[in-house]
Amino acid sequence: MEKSVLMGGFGGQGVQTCGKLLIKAANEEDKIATFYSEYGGVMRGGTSNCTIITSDEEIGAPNIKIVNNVVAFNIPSFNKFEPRVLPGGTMVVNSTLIDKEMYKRDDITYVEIPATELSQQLGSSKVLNIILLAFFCEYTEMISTDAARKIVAEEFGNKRPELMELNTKAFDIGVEWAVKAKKNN
Amino acid sequence: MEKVYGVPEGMTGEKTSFCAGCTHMLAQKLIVECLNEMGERDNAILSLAIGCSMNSVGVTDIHTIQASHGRSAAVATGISRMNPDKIVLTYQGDGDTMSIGIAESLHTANRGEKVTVITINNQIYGMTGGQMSATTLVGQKSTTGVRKPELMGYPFNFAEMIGNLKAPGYVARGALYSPKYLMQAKEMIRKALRCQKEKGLYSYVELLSFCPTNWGVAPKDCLAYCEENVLPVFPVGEFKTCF
Amino acid sequence: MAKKVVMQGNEALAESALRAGCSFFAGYPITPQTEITEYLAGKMNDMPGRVFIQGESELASINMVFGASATGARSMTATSGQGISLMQEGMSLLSETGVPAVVVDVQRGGPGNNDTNPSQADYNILTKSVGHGGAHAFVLAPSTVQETADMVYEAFDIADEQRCVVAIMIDGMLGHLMEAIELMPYRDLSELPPRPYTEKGNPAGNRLQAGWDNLEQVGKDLESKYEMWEKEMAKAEHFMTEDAEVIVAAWGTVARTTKTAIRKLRAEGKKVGLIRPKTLYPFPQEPFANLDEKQVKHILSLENSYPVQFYNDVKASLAGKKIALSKKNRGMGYELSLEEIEEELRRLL
Repeated sequence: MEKSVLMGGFGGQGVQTCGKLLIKAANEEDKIATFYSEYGGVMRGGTSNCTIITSDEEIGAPNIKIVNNVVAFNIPSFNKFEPRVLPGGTMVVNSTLIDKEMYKRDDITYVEIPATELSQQLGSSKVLNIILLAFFCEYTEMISTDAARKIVAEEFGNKRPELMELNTKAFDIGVEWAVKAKKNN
Repeated sequence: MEKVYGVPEGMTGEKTSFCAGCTHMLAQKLIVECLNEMGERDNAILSLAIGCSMNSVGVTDIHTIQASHGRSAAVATGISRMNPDKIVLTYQGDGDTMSIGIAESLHTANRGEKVTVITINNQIYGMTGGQMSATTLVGQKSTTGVRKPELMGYPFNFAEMIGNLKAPGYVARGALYSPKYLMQAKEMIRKALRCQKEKGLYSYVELLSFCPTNWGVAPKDCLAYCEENVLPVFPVGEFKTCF
Repeated sequence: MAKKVVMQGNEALAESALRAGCSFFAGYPITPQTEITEYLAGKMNDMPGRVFIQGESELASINMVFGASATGARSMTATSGQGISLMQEGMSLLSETGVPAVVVDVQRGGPGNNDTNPSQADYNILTKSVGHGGAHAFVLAPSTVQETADMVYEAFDIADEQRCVVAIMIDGMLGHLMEAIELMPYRDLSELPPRPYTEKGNPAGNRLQAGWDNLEQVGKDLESKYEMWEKEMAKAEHFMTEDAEVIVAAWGTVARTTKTAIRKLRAEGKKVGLIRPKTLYPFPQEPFANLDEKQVKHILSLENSYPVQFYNDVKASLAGKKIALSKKNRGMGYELSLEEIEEELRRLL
C-alpha cells in the first residue's frame, strides 16, 4: 500500500532537509520509499517542494500529482497543493502563516500547528522543519515517530552536535502538538 | 675504429612517408637521443597527434598512443595523472597544438601537468596539402589563401603566450634548420624532459621545421628562407625556465 | 543484512563507480549530472590511487579518459546531452582502439540547448553509433536508484571484458531521486584486470595506434563483437506481461512511472503489462518478436522525446507481427505524467 506526502515552502525553510529526514526514517523502519524534488527552480528564497512515498513493494512513479498528505510550510504552497490532496487525506498547516479562512475543501482534514511561532519561541526559525516533521509523523503515522526521532538524533548528533538540544526540543514540541491535535479531532 | 655517430638505438628503421627535405625525422631522432641519454626511453609514453606528426608512427621504439586531432595534451594529461613515474610526451604539429587543440594545449600548460609537449611548427598544414595554419606567416601562400592580417590575424605565438603562465616549468622555441640550431634544440628537449623528471613540471618545446613541399621552396633554399622570414616572427630561445 | 543507505541517484552512481574500482574521472559540470562530478571531486583526490580532474570541456575530459584508461586504470566521465555530442569523437576512438571506458549520460531535453528537465532525448545518439564510423557503445538503462548503482558497478566489468565504451543513460529524475539502496563492496584495485597498455614500436598488431595494415581486421572484430552482443547480451524486464493484452514498451524513468499506472489498472482487472529494455544497445528484440499475436492486441511505446527515437526500435522488433503499435511521447523538457499514461492505456483497453 503506497502512502505519500508532499511538502512545500519557501527555499530556506528546510523543506528539503525535512523530506530527506523523512525518507531516512522510512528506511530506518525498513519501508520502501522514494524522495523526489523537482529541481528546476529550487533555490534559497524561491519555492521548494518534495514528495515522499512509502510502500511495502516496489514504487513506480516518484512524482505523483495526487497525494495522501500535504505539509504546507507557507501560503503559496498551501494554495498550490491544496487541490492535490486525495479526498479523505490530510493537510498539515503552518498556522502562523496560513489562515483558516483560506481553506477551500470539505473532503480533507486540516490540522494546524503554529510552527513558525513555536520555532521563534525556541529561539531559532531554523527548527521549523523539525517541528513540522515530528508533528507530521506523530499525527499521520505514515512514518513512525520513533524512527524519525532516531534519524534526527543521528543526523544532528553526528554532524551538528551543538544543535542537538535545540532540535530535540523542537521535535518534542511537534509531537506534543500532534498528540493534542489527535485528541481534538 | 671508434664509432662517433650513427642511428641512435630506439630508431626502428621503419619507413615513413615524410617528404624529401622534411625535418620531422630530425626531431624524432633528437627526442630518442635525449631519452636514451636519460635512460628513460623504456619509461616514456608518447601521445602522438594527427597531422604530419602521425607519419612518425612506429619510427621510434617508444610506447606510443595516438590521440585524436588536437587532443594529444588531454590524452597526455590522463596518462600522466595515472602514471606519475613515467615520462609523458606529446608530439604535435602547429595545427594540432594551436588551432584545433588550443584549449587542450593551453589548459594542460595552465594546470602545469607533468608532461612535455613538443610541437613541430612548419607554418602550414602539411598532411592535408598546404592549407593555412595558425602559424602561417603574413603574406605566405597556402591553398586556402594568402595570410592577410585583416582577414586572418597574425601568426600565433603560443610559446610566448604560455611563457607568461605561472604553472609551466620550461618553455622554449628551437629550430631544426641546421646543425647549429639542432644542437640548441636538443638542449631544449633535454631541459624540457629534465624539467618534467626532476621538477615534476610542465614543459613545452616548439621546433621550427621545414616544409619544402608545401612552401614551394627547394630544400637547399629553406635555411635562407627561414632565417629571412620565419625567425623574425618566431624567434628561437627560452621563454621560461625552471633551471 | 547491512542496513540500506538512502542516496540520490547521481550520488549512488558516483559511489558505486568508486566501489567498482573507478580510479580516474574527468568531467565538466552540466545540469543535471553535476552532483556526480561534485561527489567524485569530494572523494577521489583523498583516495590513494585515484584521480579526479575537472576538464576544461567535455572534449578534453573524454580524451583524458582515453589516456588514463589506456595506460592506467578504470576510468569514467559523466555528462548530459551537449556533452555527449562533444564526446562523440572521443568515444569513436575509444571504440576503435578497444580502450574501456564508462560514460554516464544524465539526459536533458534536446536538441539544442533546451531544458534540463527529465528527458530521453539522447537515445539515438548513444544507441545508433558513438561518433563517426558506426562503432557502438554498450548502453545500459536503469530505472531505479538501486539499479543505477548495480549497473554502473557492472558497467566497468563489461567495459573491461568487451574492450568497449559502456554508456549508462539516466535522467534528472533518476539522478535526483532518493531511494534506499544496498551498495556493492569496494573492489581491490590490485585485483582488477590490467589495462591494454600502449605497445611499443611497429604499429602492426598494436590497436592503440591502429596501424594501416590491420585496420580492416579491427573493423571486422568490431562487427563480430556487436553481433555477439545482439545475440547474447540484450536484457529486458517483463512486468505483468504473462496474460497481458496491452503491453507498454518503455525504458528508464518512463517505465517506472508506467508501473504505477499498470498496478492501478491491474487492480481493476485490466490485462496490461510492460516490457522494459535494460540494455538499449544491444536492443532486446526477442521479447517483442516472441509476443503471441493471439494474446497481445496492442503495443504502446512511451518515451520522453520529440521526435520519437525508442519507438523506432520497438517498431523494428515487431516487424511482421500482427500487433497494433502506437506511440505516446513528450519531450523538449516536458515529461509524460502518470495521469497521461493511465489515460492513454484506458483509451486502448
